[in-house]
Amino acid sequence: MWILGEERGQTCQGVTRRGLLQVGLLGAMGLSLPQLLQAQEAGKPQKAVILLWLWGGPSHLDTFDPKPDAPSAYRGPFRAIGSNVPGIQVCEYLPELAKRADRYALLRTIHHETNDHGIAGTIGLTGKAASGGRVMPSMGSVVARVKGYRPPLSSFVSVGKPLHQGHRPIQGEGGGILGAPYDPFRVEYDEVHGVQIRDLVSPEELTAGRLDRRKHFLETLDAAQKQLYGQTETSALSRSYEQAFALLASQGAKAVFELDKEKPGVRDRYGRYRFGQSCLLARRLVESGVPFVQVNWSSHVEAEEDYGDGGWDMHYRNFEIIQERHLWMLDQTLSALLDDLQQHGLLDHTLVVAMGEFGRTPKINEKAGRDHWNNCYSALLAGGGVPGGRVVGVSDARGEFPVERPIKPADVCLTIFDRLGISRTNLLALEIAPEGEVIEELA
Amino acid sequence: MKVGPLRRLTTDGCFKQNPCFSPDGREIAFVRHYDDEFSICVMQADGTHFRQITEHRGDKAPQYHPDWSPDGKHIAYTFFTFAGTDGSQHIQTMTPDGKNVERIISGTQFNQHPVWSPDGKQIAFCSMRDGNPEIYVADADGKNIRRLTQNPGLDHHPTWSPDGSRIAFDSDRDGNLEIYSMDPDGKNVQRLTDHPSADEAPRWSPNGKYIAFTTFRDGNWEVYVIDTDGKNPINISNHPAYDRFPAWRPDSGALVWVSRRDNVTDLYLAEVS
Repeated sequence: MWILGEERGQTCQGVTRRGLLQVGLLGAMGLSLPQLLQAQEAGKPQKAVILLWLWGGPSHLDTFDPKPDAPSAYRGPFRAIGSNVPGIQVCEYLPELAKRADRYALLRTIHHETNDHGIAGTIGLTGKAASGGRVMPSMGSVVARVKGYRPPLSSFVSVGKPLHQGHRPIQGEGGGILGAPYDPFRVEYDEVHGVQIRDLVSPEELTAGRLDRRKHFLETLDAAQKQLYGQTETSALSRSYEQAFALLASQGAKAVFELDKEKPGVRDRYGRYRFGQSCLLARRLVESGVPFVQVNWSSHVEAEEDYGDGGWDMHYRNFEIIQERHLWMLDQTLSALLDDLQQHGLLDHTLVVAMGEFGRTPKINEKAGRDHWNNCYSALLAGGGVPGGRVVGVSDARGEFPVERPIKPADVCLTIFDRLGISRTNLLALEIAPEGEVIEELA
Repeated sequence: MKVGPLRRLTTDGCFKQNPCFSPDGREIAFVRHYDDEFSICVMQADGTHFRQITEHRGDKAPQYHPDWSPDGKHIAYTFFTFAGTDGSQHIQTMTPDGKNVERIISGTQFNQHPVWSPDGKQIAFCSMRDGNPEIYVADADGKNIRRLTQNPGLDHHPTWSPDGSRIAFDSDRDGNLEIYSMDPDGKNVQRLTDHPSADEAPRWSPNGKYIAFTTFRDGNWEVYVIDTDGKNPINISNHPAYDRFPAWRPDSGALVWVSRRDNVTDLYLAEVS
């Protein structure tokens, strides 16, 4: 989706003359983009995004675009149920979300060109496939760059382990061409160890003196790197460490990660499993001012990966597995998140997005599974000013292809930026040329 | 049927599934997800003396669907092996201390839901070895595999009647998941439930009179019991939370199942009469 300054002179999708003029004006005013945005946002509610990344690709027919009238070889064994909005149906195993349809919009015609997890994941998170070795920044990384680092918490926090395809991490989850400093600050949750911050050893093991020594060591290392290689940008190592150090030094920031500060009933409503508590952590991060939080459903795509706690890639046993685990977990946790954000007064300016990298084949395969399907799939968007009770796009009778209002991942990305108050002009200021269009029906 | 007060047997809240009683009724085996492992665990029927019986594996391969042999000497279960980003499921047996593991049914694809015949000489299971999920029977050593169902729909979760004369299972052959029963050679299939929502995972009562199963007919997962001809459905769990995976105590006087009624996943037991 983002191209650094190579398409100047284009007027359609590229950098416009007007955009360049606006970029020049910022510099003349002596303001960096983050400073300008912070000045603009002063006194306004903090806008934020929580992206629930349903890694592996959930079946759109078995979640948000059921086809009750399709032949059984497509429809599958699950029923569609009505919601609290007439005309909107979802899978019967999402009953709590069905009661809240007036709070979200469904996109039912997202499509792109690849059925490879890694490439599709990169497209979904960045709006564009990597090309010629150039990997575009993920949405969170763009937000981190535009909003700037706001100590002690990063502007882009990812909850969960890095997204993998087999043994390889995917390309599109980090800073890409913006650089590693804009990679997500990563925290993880599991039922045994609670919240963990990768860049830190546990506070009990880290004395103040040791912390200072580590910081000094890294500062020295960073200075040496700059001398050697002439770097002027903060290195990924020091940025990551700076953020971790700032966290440790701030009692208030550390408290964000203490989920046991929540009432047990609140934790229960989110669900005492990884995805549930990760979403609770996302709410706490947004409440503390983090503008972009990504929650990864899993690190790997297959349900049996991540030690049986993996993703939505159901080439076999689709119905059995998502019935036993995935659907009720998504239903419970996403419903709890919407309720909780609303109760905290955060939903109006926090956009919640639930989507994966593609959908699944409408035709059920011979192993009771569904394979990859990039030609038509769904996403749920709630809060952040998005009108609820709305469906954008219509897929065909079997859920195979869009028939009305096709949507590209780049459109979704640009809409998310729009909700955060990040305009094309802001992006152009970074010499990033956005593709896609804001989805007007969600404005 | 009268349902007694519910007793919560576990309190750790970890995800659980597939409970089953030992033939003497003293112990319950079940699957628990904890510390990145899907493992098979055993506890006494009152919830005490919990222990994980499957070994802690380096690859943390998921293990599930335990079923205790009628003589109490073995547990059959499903074992998952990884192959790239794909995998296979095998049926294995072990002694109740988790030792003496033997892989009895394998193949490149999925074999799951093993259940011992009442005489312990056969194991019924679900497999995709010929394409879509079908019900099969093998000798207890995994040999002499015979296919019982031939249908393009999904056929899962076999369970034997106590006299071995019928096998109940679930299937979506008529459009959605329903409970069926058939002879042990796959003939004389009879549909037992008929509801637009899912009815699945049947468990035949040891006294031969009832079949417990899981259903979404009330808009949430509940445990129901029907007569073996499908009549007289009774909601046993009767709670808006998730209630699944029922299993009978050998005296048919109680059901154990997995419930999320306290917002976490635990095992609960109710006396029935």
